[in-house]
Amino acid sequence: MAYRVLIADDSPVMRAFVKRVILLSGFELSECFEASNGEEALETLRSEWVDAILTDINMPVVDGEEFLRRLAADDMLKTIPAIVVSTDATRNRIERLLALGARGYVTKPFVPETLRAELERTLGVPCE
Amino acid sequence: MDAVLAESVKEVLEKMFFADLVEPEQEVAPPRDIHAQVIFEGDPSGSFDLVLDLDAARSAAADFLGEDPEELTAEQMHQVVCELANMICGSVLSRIESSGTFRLEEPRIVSSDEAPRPPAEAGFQAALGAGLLRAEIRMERAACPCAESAS
Repeated sequence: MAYRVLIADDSPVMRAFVKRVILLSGFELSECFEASNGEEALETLRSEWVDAILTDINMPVVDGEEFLRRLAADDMLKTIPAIVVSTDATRNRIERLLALGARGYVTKPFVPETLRAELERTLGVPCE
Repeated sequence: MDAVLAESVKEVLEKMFFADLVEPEQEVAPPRDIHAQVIFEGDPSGSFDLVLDLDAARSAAADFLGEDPEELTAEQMHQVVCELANMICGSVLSRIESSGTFRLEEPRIVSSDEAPRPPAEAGFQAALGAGLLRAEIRMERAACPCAESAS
């Protein structure tokens, strides 16, 4: 089975990198959507179904924390697993974002295998 | 602090840029072509500076994006250097403030001719591709309360 993933990050080069790493990791990606902030991500999610979301924290307009709050408040969208991808590896931040509804957390820097493992864990993909 | 900075630079470049650094055996002039800066707030607050030669920036951007170095635009190189600065700064702060909280401002490209900066808390320089990279971090120290009460 191949999956549809949304990447929310204000940096175009970071979005390109994350997409490249997903493909390099061997994760089965059928379609990849991109958004430069939480507001754009929500707009995309109202018209396109995705299996998982990868989101940055520091973004303009609607940041990662507010994006997670709005996802959790939406009965239809709250079932989509969101994974935070961030440079911030402090315990307080990770605990706060998991409490807001993030299902996973990947700290930068990461290797392709880490991103794939976190995607597969949150999607419940059985281990090979 | 120098060791923490060096470890962070090496880890970010190995994992996210698939690149290895070579530390120079003798002192060489610091790079100055592309300079990215990240201001951070937390305990402590401060700034992080990353300066690359054009060759090092081109090499980093090509490795990060998986593109031909000759096809890269200046804008792409600036964005990648900003992202590299953001990741190294976040990695350093996560190592020294593992239980705290910090906030990074958006990285920006600055002119190397801006006002002189105070001495760095830590610095690290290495060769990346055919160019050089230099990272420096500066901390703002809060005045010691005991100094006031003692006066």
